[in-house]
Amino acid sequence: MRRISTGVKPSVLLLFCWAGYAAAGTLEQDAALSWLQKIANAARQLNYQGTFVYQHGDQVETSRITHYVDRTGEYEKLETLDGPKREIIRSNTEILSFDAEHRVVRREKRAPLKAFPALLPEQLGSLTGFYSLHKGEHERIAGFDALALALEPRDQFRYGHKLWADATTGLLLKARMLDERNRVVEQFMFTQLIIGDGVTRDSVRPSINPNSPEWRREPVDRGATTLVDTGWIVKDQPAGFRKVLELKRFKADSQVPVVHLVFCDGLAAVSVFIEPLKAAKEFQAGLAHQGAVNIYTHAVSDQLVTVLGEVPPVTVMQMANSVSLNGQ
Amino acid sequence: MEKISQLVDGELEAHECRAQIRRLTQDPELAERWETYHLIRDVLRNEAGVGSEVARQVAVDLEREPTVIAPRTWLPARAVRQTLPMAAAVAGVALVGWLALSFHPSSRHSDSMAMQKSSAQGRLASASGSVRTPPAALSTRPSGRVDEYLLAHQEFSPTSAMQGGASYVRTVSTGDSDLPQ
Repeated sequence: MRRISTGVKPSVLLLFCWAGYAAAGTLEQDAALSWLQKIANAARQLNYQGTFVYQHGDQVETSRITHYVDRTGEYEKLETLDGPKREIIRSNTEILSFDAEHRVVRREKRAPLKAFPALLPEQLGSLTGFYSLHKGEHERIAGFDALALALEPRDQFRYGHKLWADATTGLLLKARMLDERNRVVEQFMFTQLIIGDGVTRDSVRPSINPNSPEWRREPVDRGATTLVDTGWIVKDQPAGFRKVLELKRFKADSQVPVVHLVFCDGLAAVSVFIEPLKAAKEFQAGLAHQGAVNIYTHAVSDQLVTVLGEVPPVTVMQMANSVSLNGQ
Repeated sequence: MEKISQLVDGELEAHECRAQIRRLTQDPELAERWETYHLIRDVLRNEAGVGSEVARQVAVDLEREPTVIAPRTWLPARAVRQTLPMAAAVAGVALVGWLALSFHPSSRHSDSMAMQKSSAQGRLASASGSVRTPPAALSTRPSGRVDEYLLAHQEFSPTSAMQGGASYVRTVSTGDSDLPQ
């Protein structure tokens, strides 16, 4: 009897250890997921103003961001502090962009789809299938106590993310995207920040009068209009990227609708734009990038397909090469 | 799939290579993937001409379209390599000092850069067998079709959402991009 029990014990013990380890693993993932959710909400719900560094490739640029929310809605102001002055003002669904160098102002109207949640709850659960999440150490960033969160991709179709957020409010203080060799593709970091009091409605007003006669107004993107079944499909998107949105949008200078499909793995998104080749004024086929966003443009019969997202080149190219109408 | 990627990169042992090549010849889907991977590698290396069908299409498109010159990097790589470790070593408060060393984009669009880029593009086009018209230099980063698409995309990207309005910086950023129009 005694001998049997001693024989059983270690394996039972092992089983317990394993169960404990697995539970701890799940707990860690759950804690990381809810922390991620908090980060996503904080950027939308808090008032803040700060100066941040944006680094991509071997470029470093400084900008100032101000975010303000009250009962009338959400307001944002982004100003570049280096080089030619550019400013973007978002007031709920309207976006004004000023380019001081060329004295051009663009006004864009966003559809009320803006209410699109930052993270889709149904996708949060599957996120762990494509990234392993690790809640990291406390670090000091821009004078705040920051908590780190690492999301490591499980395949080569997405970038790794490392996020440092204010331990109290969840506001993102530093974000880094890494390629498969752990090289930084793009990085944001606050160097100075105030959260809460001190940010007013006035701090998100444009510093330039958009109606001034000195500024040339460019035609606007009328934004997304209709959610439709466009008939266009992407056959070969990497595992985890699910279509979350399908719509037609109209550009200002054209009556021809542009098809817009959005795919998301819970964290990274890829947009597919399809427009008739003859309506596209000028384009350059091939791969391009803007920071961590890779852009692949090519013609599919008489249509121009543009696929872009904060994912590695392989993902946008593979998706672009499998775009077809009704699977033809 | 991963094996195919390794095969393209020459990371497989000889016996594994043989097995994968056998799979390639039997599975048209894999063969297509093989071609895609090669194409991706070539595009990343700025070579053209391997993916026969796509290369032909690109050549046709290039011939039809005027060239847009978007200068990429204007800063000597050496300067950055020296600056970054220094910043890392004296992180924190000294970051402000690092910013003072940061680089003003205004000097970015020099003619020589445009020339370099245009000759590179000329090589690319001739490699894919097309004849180029002389490119017209563009003095600024285009704020066209792709910018609109970037903004539209960011509306739905969780990554952008977490960065809040800071993600708009991609659409106003002037450096390190090679955006098409």
